[in-house]
Amino acid sequence: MRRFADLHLKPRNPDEISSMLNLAHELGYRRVAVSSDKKSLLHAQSICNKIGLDLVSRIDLTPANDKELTSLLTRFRRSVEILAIICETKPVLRQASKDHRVDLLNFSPMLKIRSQVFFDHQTAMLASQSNCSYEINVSDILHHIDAHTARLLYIIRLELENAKKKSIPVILSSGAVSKLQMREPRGTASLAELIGATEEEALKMISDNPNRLVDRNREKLSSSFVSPGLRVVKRHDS
Amino acid sequence: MTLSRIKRRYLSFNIFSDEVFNEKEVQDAVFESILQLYGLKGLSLIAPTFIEFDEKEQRGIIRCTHSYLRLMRASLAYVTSIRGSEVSIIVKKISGTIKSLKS
Repeated sequence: MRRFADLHLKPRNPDEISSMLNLAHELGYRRVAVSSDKKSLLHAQSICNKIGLDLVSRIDLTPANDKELTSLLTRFRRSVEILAIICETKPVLRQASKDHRVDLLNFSPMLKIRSQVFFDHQTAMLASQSNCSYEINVSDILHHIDAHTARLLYIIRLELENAKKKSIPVILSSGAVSKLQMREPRGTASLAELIGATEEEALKMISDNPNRLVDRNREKLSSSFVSPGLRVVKRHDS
Repeated sequence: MTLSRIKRRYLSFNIFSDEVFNEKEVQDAVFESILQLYGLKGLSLIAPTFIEFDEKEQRGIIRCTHSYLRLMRASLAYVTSIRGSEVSIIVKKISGTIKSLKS
């Protein structure tokens, strides 16, 4: 049985966290990540413990330049399980795609920015060597269909092709700001049909790929981790 | 000459919103969504049919062709507003017969 995960809930206000987490559980998600302030996350953790949902800590960073990105990564990397970079400039995108501390590459839903800064071939090449994943927010395309959305769908389709060519893990998240933007896991996966993903690929994007990323990072953050494939089994007390 | 039987799927769904909608409004929104995403050809291939809609509970059953179930799900997920109010349509269960859907 698949364990569905939604790694991007971003409630508009802290009051909505509770209803969004309850709905996520009701819809069949087993793991969720909320990007919010520390106080709200503590509240979210208590709700998740009650309903049996696995809460993943996540931070979204939107650095203005590559220097700021490096300093933010140094500051936050060890304190969160998922670190996503919202790339709005080319230098940030290039730096983020080659930095192994970045987990997710996310992009602006604004067409003006997205048509300039997107997951292109070069980014895919760099990302394939640094182990970062590419994230698609379903909320970006959940708008009334018009020329703007159609163009955005075209860009995301291109991005997905680039990611597939270089075997970059793709993660499909809701990016929901309210509970009315949330859909059931298989409904969300079916929306990936619009960007050219097969049913099996879409289901992996919402279950296997996010779960693998979270498990890997949790292992890295654990006290027994030394390096990939090497961990402390027993400590010898002197 | 024998004609093969068309396989169908029945989807039960719930509507989440602050407003209450009638069957006609929901049906129009779903058909509009299919037309926007897949056009007239898609609408004919999916062949959606409203079986029932409970206005009080805001839940209903819709039928589509088995081969185009994924397109039907995507179209339901794509409905974001009805009469200008934000909504979400959540599919609860899918089955090959109405009887098993209701059980």
